Amino acid sequence: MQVACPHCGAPETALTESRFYRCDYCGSSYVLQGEQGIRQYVCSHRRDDRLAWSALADHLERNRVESSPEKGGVEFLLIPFWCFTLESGVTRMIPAIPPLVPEVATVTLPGVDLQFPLSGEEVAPPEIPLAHAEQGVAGAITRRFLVHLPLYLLSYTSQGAPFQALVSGMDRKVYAGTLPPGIMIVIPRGHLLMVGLYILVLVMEALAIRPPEWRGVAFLLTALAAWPLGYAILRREC
Amino acid sequence: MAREPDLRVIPLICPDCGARLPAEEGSVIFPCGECALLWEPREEALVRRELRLLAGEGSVHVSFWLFPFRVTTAGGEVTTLGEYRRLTGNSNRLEPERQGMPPLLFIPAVAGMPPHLLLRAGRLLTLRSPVLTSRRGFPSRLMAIGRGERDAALMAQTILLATLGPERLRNLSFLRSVKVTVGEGGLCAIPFLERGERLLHGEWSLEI
Amino acid sequence: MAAAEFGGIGCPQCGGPLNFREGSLTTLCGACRTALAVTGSAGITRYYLEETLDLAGARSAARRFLATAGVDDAVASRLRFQGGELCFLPFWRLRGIAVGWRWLERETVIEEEYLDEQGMTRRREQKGLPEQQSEILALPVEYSSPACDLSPYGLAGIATVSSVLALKGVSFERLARRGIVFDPTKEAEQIRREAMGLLRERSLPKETVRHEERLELSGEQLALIYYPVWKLGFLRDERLYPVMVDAVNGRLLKGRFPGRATVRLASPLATVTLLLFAFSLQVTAGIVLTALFLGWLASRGEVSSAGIARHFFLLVVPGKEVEHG
Repeated sequence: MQVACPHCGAPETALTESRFYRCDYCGSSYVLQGEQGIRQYVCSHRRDDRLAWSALADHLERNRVESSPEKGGVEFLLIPFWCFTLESGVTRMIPAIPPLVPEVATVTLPGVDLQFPLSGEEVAPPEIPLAHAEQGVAGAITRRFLVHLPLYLLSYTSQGAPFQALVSGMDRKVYAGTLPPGIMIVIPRGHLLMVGLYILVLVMEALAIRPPEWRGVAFLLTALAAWPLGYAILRREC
Repeated sequence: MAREPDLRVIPLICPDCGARLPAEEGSVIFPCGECALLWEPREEALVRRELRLLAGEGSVHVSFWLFPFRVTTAGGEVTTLGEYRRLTGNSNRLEPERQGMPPLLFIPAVAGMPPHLLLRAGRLLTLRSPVLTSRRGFPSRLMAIGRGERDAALMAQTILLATLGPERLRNLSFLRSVKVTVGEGGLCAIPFLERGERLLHGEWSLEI
Repeated sequence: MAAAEFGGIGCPQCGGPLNFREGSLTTLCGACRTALAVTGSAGITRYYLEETLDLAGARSAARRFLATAGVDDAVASRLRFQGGELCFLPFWRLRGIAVGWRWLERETVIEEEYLDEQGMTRRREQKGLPEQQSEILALPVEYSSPACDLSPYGLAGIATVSSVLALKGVSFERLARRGIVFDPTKEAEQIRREAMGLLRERSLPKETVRHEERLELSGEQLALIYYPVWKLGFLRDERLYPVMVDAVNGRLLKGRFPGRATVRLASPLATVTLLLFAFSLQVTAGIVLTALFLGWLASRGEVSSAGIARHFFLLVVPGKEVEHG
């Protein structure tokens, strides 16, 4: 079957077993849907999990939820999306593979440098046909293309309950369905331990020293010693 | 790379004589004083444009696009100058030989003219539909041409409507029905006298 | 700047660098004095603004901001910048003249005189019949809008800057070597629609009840202007904070900086020591002192489980973050 490059119109013989094509003339990359060539793009992005966790921390803070969730796993995904530019100029995105989490369906196209994948660059083929995705789009479509977007799927725990969030690698946008319930205060475990240890020392002193005046002196000395020690430890957190 | 095309620049050098063409602010069509020709950039080349020089008194020439036109309204079709004059309510006598001529729309081509003045100049000249007398030659002082044929044609309907009486325009179904079709446009240079910041055409009693 | 680093298009006659002005379809080569006409594919001209700050300059601009924006010195001195990318962000600019007609119907108010119960003449305003009118319009159009989602960069518009500074013509191959060139995802058609929609809305008189118009855009000049922004980031306790710096004037466009945390140890230590001492003397004394302590907390409006936990266990109070843009 003969197909034409959607970028420059150069003809190519399509092999039915292959689904990605690279134009020998203009270097563009496209996928075949029926007899139609659809341009496909990737976004240049280097994986950095810290970026995703930082974006999530920002998002949780802004929503007045705890800022230091217990980190779970990170899954780095390069998800293909069918993009449809409508007559109104708006671009709608529909996942081209069955979404792993419902949040994938809410992803919007970030400001991005769209590039054709380099030869040898591995990208997942679309599993949902273009025609099927198109049915979910209302309005006249003027342009169709496929974009492989880098996304981080983060799993975290807050107050013992598991949560998931999707972070777009390009613009650090967070797509989180359910957020942990808002909490008023976060007490770091270290602080709990320090105060607990201090109470334990005082209790032991109280049991060991009977005369009240000597006990008072011992308490005072312990407090005076604990203050600079604790300060030195805690200052590192500032 | 998935790239859009780059910006393109075309050297403004007369394809006929090799002289450098002047590029005044806002120009889209460029005169070559050496060979008395106009050049317009199209795609990646310069193409020639004809200029009709009108006779008259004046030191500076202002360019206008002239479009023969026909207009369809709820009241019928207007194809001649006589019919157009009736549409505008102009009862002045018109020479019999001009009655059947196609009417002409005058659309200013000059660069940097504020929109309201542009509308005014186009309306006044179109309404007057003066007798045009050409002469040979090329204007020594031609004000920069800042409007191409396509852009001028886009203004045709508005300028035509501006020449009609306000009573007609108040009628919404009339406004909806007006359809102006223009023929091929031609550039003409009209001489004007300079009076401070104003330009005067003595013979047509016109000030722009 | 060295010729090899020049990212724009050069003069086809002599190869010299060219400067452009937004809205002008001609330019003059500074080197060989040849006048040049500017054209773009599908009527769209593509320009970029050259960055005046390099990476080091952008970092010092961000540091200067820290000094004036209320970020604690101790926090600022410990921030470590990580990487830095120069991004060219696309903006649409549309100019032209909107011409056409508008027909409208507007409310009218008529004043009438009447006699009240005491027989006095009074005046009152009443709604009159709607007035129909039409106008021929010729309005200048000037519109600017980001060409893709640029919300993470804190740059809303470039109208003033792009009309003042000299622009360079885009050669994508060369520009991509200088930085990341973002692609416009908003179509030209949408820009036209937005610009005309805004114009219709703004030019419509207030009292309009009904209106209809036909407007065409004549003399359209559609340009894509790429604006340089440094995307910096700094790391603090495994947390990355992005900072966007305008690469033309060094302005901080968007950034979020941690505030300085403070240690509060004296108050929890003193309370624990006193309460335990009181209880060790006599349970009643302990209970009285606890009641007094709760009373003190109540006077500060903090008598709750969270308030008590905060008093005893929150030994480091996080500082208020400084957010910009």
